[in-house]
Amino acid sequence: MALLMLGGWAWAQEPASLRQVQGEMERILAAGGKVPGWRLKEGPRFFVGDKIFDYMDGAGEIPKACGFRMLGVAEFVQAQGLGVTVELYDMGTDANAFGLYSMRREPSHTFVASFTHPASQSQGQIIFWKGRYTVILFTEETKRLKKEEFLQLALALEQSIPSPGAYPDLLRYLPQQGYVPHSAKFFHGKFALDTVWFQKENLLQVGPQTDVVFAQYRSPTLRLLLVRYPDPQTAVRVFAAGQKRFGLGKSAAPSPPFVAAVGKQPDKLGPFLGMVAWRNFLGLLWGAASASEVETALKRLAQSLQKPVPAWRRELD
Amino acid sequence: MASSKLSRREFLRRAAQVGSGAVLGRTLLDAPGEAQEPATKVVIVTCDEVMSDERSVNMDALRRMMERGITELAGKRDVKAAWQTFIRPSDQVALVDSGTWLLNVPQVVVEAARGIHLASPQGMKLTYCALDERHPQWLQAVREGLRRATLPPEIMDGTVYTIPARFHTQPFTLIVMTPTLKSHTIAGVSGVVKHYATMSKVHVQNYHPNAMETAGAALANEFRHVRHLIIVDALRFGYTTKGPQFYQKSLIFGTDPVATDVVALEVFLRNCRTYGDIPPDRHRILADTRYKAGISDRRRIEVKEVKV
Repeated sequence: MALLMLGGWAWAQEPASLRQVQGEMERILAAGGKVPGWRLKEGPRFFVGDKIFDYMDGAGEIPKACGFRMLGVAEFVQAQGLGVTVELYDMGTDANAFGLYSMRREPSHTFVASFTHPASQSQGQIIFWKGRYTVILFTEETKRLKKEEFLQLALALEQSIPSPGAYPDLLRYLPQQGYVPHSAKFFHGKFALDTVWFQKENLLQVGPQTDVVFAQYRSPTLRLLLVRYPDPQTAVRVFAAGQKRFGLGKSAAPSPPFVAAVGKQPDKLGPFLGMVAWRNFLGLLWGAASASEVETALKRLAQSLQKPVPAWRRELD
Repeated sequence: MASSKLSRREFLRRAAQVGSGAVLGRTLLDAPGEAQEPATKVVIVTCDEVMSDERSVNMDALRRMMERGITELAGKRDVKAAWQTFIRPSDQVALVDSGTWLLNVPQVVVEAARGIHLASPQGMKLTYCALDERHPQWLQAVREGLRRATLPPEIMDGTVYTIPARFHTQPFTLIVMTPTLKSHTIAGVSGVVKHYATMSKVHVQNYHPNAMETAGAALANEFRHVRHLIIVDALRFGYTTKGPQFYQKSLIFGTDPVATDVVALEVFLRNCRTYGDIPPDRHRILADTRYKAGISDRRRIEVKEVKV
């Protein structure tokens, strides 16, 4: 049985795969030290499983809810002492790498096109994903560190990751009309779900075996959750429980084979809520100002479930 | 996650729902209604000159804030007598810092230590968070501040506030803490009640689920036997693990951890937001209604707000 310890990586006996993972991450992080003007100051340190809490306290629940495998943290510094912390997450899959990236970026951020997938830039932070890796760079030296030097470090790390990676398949099922670019979030677990739709129980029964995407829409303003379960029975069961919990009335739109329900959810912003179930999918829409708005949105969702787009478009994210 | 604007009106409305959903009775209703005798007092002290960024702290202003806060809370003019209102000669005091991700302004911890020392308790330990060891410059700043205040740096002890922590093994009779507030990915807004959960003898992750609804259990079950003096370091508010987001320039004083946290959250929400859809009031109210760890009913909290 492998025994892992924090910090110095004192291994009693380590799985070969984790050693490989760490070796690959060390190689990627080393690229940062080769950028002119930057050197590695500290690390890398590596964290797996619940040890992530030792690094980032409760915030570690979000990478866990997105399926993280290993985190490597390194500090880079310029000659004049301006520092950047780099968090490199091995998320195990491309989809999960996009997922953690999506949880951290917002539509209001600036997006940099020169990365393989658009990188999000906000106050003191650059976030991108590539292959199975999510990378977060942050600095408190926002006034003194030159933006181009910060970007140069980020790009060097990005270029050391070989394969581009593919977007999560579930994104293809999102309706495109009215979608707010850069708003989609992909995850698995309730800790991540709580940040977009908090309920005290796990009403949607999300967990490691479910894929979930959240998206924002405008005209009309709506929020959408789309869950893909391992089987249709779970989707139907969750739909029935949700219909009962929120006191939703059956809706004729969309028509069978979809089952849909609409009603009010007064404790959230925007009173109208709709749910739809089909095969192993469950859709939840809220924030609508009227029942007809949510029914129109449910019909659009039904169409995109039956006819998803061939691929998610880069410019949407 | 783009933080939802949780207005004060919405905060109070949702707080009422959480309160009534858990145990019928107490709410944070601010509406005029049945007048209640305040059961606890919280003091907010603000000074516009105290700091403008991380590098410039006006020490004189900070001391004035600390002295004003403690004297207002105690209802006494003399600073030493004010500290002695809360600290007895027989006390074994733990001074607990905020821990990482929004570290205290070091001088806040030093000023609190100085005030405790004025009251001459039997013993005092500055039980800093063990994770602070990753920030040697911060620890050094605290040590130097203690020396300047003629306090021995040996009061610093990083072996108690580990995670999980060892407060339960110590004979402390009074906890003085200087927590910070920040937008938090699972608590919505972290503060006093959540801080006690990180001081628990079990790992804080046990309290994580459902917007940390059980965080109040740590305060209720493990710290009920001690007295509390809370000095919220609200000089700035943080954003997750990414440092300050707003310079509030306040210190917030109280002896009821829940009440102090409720008021600190109100101040936070004036200019900052909860994280995503997470209700920041939930664990605070449940600390009262489910765990009886303090007062969340705003009608029972007397708040005094002063500027220096």
